[in-house]
Amino acid sequence: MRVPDSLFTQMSLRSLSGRRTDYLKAQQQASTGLRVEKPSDDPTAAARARRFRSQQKRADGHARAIDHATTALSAADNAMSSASSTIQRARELAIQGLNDTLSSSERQSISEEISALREHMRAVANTETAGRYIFGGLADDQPPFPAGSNVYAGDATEQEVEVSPGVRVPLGISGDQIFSVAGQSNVFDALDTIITGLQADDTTVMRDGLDRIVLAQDLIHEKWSEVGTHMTSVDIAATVVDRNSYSASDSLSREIEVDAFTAFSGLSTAQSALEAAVSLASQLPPPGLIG
Amino acid sequence: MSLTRALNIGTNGMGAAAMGTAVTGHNLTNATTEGYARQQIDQRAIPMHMGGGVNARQPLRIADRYTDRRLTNSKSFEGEASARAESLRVLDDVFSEGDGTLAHALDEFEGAVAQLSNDPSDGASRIGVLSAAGQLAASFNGVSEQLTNARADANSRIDLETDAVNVRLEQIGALNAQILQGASGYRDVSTLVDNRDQLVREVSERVPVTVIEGQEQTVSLLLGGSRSLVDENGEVRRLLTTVDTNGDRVVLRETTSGTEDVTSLMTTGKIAGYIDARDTDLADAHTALDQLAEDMTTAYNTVHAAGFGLDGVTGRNLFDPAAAGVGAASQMAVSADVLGNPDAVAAATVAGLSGDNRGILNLMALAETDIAMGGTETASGSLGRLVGQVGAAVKSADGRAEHATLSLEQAQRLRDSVSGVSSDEEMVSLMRYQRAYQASLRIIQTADEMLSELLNLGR
Repeated sequence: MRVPDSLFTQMSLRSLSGRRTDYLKAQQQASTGLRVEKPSDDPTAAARARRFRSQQKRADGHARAIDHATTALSAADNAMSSASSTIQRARELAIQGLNDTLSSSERQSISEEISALREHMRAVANTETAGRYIFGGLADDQPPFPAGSNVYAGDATEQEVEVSPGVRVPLGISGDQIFSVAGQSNVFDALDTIITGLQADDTTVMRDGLDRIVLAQDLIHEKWSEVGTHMTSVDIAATVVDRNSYSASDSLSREIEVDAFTAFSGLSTAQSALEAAVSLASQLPPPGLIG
Repeated sequence: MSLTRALNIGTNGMGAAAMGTAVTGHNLTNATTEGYARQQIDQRAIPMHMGGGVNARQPLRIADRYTDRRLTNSKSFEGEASARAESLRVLDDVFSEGDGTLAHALDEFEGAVAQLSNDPSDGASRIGVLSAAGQLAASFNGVSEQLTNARADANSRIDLETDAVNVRLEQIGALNAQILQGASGYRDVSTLVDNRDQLVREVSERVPVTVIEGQEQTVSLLLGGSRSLVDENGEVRRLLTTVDTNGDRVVLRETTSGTEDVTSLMTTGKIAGYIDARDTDLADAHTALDQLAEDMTTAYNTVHAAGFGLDGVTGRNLFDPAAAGVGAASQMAVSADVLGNPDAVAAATVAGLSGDNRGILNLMALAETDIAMGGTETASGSLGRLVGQVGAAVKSADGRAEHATLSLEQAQRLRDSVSGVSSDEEMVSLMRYQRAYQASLRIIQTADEMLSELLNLGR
């Protein structure tokens, strides 16, 4: 085949342009650490990356829900602890009050102490954290046991949040399962009963009051441990979410990133190739009869 | 007398060598002229009985029909592939990840909804949901606009290239006429032919042409092998564009009685590339985008309308309802039902409970529900599939353009191997013609000396 002058120009131009493009690409990869920046870089990887990013974001959302649930359940836990010690003290006082050796005035002063405990119990039942009445169920914007009422004014459903894929955890327990359980127990009525009995020196009433207090106390303990169960669920969820988050990040990296070593050795290869092309091109034109 | 004949032979020998040198010079000075085909002197021996010596006729233009044709076809292929790849570039940009992209807005929206589930009465979280919804709608609007612009771009390029073809068709027609005239006047038409061939290649870059040889180095051009664009006498049938019902360009050709639609003949060339990009990958991406917008709007509205705002009102939309498929992405917007009214966000499933987040939990669940692509993908999954689809389209278009460029270069090399100038070759020719000139001089000198001797005889 005849070799016209244009052949040399064309070949070195092509070679230079090609090596320059390769070099630019290698430089881009080395500086961003990304192998896939645009969908066309690797379509299947880009599609998968979208899925992993989405999973990562979802895990972030769950992590926020976990924080929120932990705060709410801790508040519930503290409140239950306070309720427990309150009812325990009331029980002790009630037993004391049943002692036949007590005078009326001594019983009177016990009834006053139990009155104070009853108001404290109301305050616990109306615990408010971060603007929420935590024992009000979904009606968390008002006290579940308004002043002067022993009747639960809140909602029967607990607020839940999703703490891991498909897993929802309540943020507390509604007051109608702890303090005022229909057909079973009402802690305020129980305390009222013992107070009435003490004030009237009526041991029958007092005994009835003590029985009710014991019932109420059992219920409080039962529900307190339920809060504990929910807290455990949240802890488990935290582990799951951590793992999900790590897995998503890791998968995402593997799809779209290039490790530093590969990137830099690619860059240096591209640089050598470019230098070679430049040096070849500068030797144009090849030796000939002219000049 | 033989000596006179010898003198004549020397003279025409000098003439031929001078002509040869001139042609060599012409080649050397035009070695880098684009589209130049090298010339060689057409040297014929003059028979002795007619005087002898050499006759240097019109220089021959060295070209090969096969390699020229192949170059023309390669230009069409390269034109189509590069036009298409260029038009699809926008897809790579709008469907990537990162701040300001649709993907990012989708993640942020799903995140804002999840965030509200933690505290449904929190004003800041409610505002967050509306803001993220607005951002999502704006992103859909933005991508849709860019795709629409890309389509408009393709259409206006079709206009531009059609004009470019017409300009060249006129020039080819004029050159055909000049070539015919020149041939009849025995003038050198090589340069005219070079220019004409260059123009033909430029036309073929844009539309598929078949080149038919006519008389005396004229050509006729047929569009797609059947429709005349220029005939050998220089008559031109121009192309024009018009707009169809979708606002897209359609290509027509002038006929004796009006125009005819030749869009289907655009099988290669730049115009074909723009048409193809516009009607396939760009259109497909836009359709998929609209479908996703519609699916999301419908799914989120259905759940949201079943829920209750803080004010106890139900039946509100989150987004403006999608208008049957077309333009869903460009029209997507946060509904007036909730716009600017954070309390209207339906977080609850019954009225009047401030802590009721069950509505929001239902909205949150949509992120993991197959609401898109006929109930087979989540919103994010659908976007992922779209990303894969456009990525593959762009990558394949780029690969094809690369291949077409290589093909074109190869065809160019092939043509140059026939018609391209080789300086070494020309240098050798120069030396040969110089020798020939010296030899001819010698002949004249010798014949002259012999004549002198003859004349001296008479003294």
